[in-house]
Amino acid sequence: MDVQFFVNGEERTFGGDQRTPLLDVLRGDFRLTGTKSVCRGGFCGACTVLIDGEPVPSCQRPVGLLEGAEITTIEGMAPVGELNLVQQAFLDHDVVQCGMCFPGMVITLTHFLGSNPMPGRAEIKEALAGNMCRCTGYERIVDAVLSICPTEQAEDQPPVPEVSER
Amino acid sequence: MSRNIPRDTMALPESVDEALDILAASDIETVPIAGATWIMRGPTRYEPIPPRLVALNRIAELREYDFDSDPIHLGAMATHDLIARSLPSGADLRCLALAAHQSANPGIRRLATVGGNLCVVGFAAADLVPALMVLDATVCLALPGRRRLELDLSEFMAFRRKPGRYLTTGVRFARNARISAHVRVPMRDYPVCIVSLSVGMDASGRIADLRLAVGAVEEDGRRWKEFEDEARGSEPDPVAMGELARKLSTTLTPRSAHDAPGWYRVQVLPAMVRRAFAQVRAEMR
Repeated sequence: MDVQFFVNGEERTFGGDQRTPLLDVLRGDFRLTGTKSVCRGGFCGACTVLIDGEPVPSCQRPVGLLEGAEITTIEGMAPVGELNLVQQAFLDHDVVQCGMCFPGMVITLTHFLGSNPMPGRAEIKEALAGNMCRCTGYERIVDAVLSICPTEQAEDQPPVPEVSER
Repeated sequence: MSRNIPRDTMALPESVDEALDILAASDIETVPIAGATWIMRGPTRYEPIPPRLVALNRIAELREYDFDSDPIHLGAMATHDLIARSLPSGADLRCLALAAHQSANPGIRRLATVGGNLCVVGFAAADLVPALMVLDATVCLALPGRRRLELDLSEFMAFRRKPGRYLTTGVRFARNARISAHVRVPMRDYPVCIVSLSVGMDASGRIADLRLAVGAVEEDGRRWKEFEDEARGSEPDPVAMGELARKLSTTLTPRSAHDAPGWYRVQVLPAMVRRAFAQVRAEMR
C-alpha cells in the first residue's frame, strides 16, 4: 500500500516498506539530506522535522503512520536562497561548528519561538533538551536565540551594579 | 534501504475489535504500536523491527481522554506531552505531571504514549508506571471475544508478561487528598532510578497513608511495600526517609544493564527517596 503525504508543501508518495523510518525516506528516497542521521534512537535530535507542525525525531516515525501528514524539513523552513530568523541569528553569531545538529536545532527553536517569542535562557535550554550538540556550543546557540528576543534578553541579564556618584 | 523489501508490513485498523482480529489472525510476529518509539529504537538494541506492525493511531477510542472527570481517564494513545500539558494542577497529581514532563526529551514526549509505557515489557525505565502506581491507577484492557477487563496496575504488570493477545485501551485513576512527588536520575539514554510517592499525613503530621513506587531499578516498576510498611507512622523527614531507603535496599533485586549496573541503581535510591520527600515537604509549607 502506498503512503501519500506532503513534504515541504509538495505531495509525495512512498511505495516501500511502511516500517521504514521517515528519516530514511527523506534522505534515501527524496534526497532531502538536510535531515541528519546520527543516533537513530530519538536521543540526539539531529533528524528533527515538523510533522503536522510538531517537531519530532524522524527516525522514530515509521512512514506508514504518515498518510496525509504535512512534513517540513530543514529545506522547507525558508524559501530557497533565504534564511529564517533562527538561521540568520546562527549565521550572525557564528554559531555553527560541525553543523550536524543544526537542522534539528533550527526546527526545534523555530517552533519553540513560535509559541514562546520571549523566552528566558533557562527556557531555551529546556526546549533544546532533545537536541545534542557534540561540539558543545550550547551557550552561543542560546546567545543567538536571545539576540532575536531583545526584551527578554534584557531581563535575563544580571542587574548592572549601581555606581555611586562621588 | 527501502527498496526490494516487503510492502504490507503495517495494518491500520479503525477499531479495537478490528485490531484484535488482525492480531488473532496473524501467522507472523505482529506487534501493536502506539508512539512506536520502543519499536523504532529496536535496531539500536540489535533487535530487528517486527515483520508486521498494527498501528493504533486511527482508533478513536484510544485517543479519548477526560482530564476533568474523577476518575480521570486517559486513552492509551495519550502522549506524555498531552498529559504534561493537560493534567489539572494539584498536589495529588504532581507525580504524574512531573513524570510526563521530565521523561525523555520534548520530541519523544510528543510521540511516546501512556499505552506504550505500560505495555513494553522490556522497558524497565518507563516514567509513567511508578507515577500511575502511586495513584492507584487501573488499566483498561480489550480481550478477544469483545471482552473488556480492568486491572489494578500492579496486577497488570504481571498480566502483561503472560502470552495472549490483548490491547490496552486506557488507564484510569481517581483524585485524592495526598501529596505526591516524582524524581529520577537520568543517565545516558534512560533514567537509572525513578521514585514516585504519594503520601497522606495524620493530624500530628506523621505519615498515615503512603504509596512509594520504584522504577528502573528492577525489571519492572513496583510498589515498594517494604518501605511503605516501615515508613507508616513516621515523620516525613527527607533525611530519615533516605536512611530508611538505604536500610531496606536489600529488599530490592536490582537489574544490571548497559546504562548502569544494579548496585549503582540501589546506591542512588536513598538520595532519590530523600529528594522525593523534600518535594513533599516543600509542598506542605
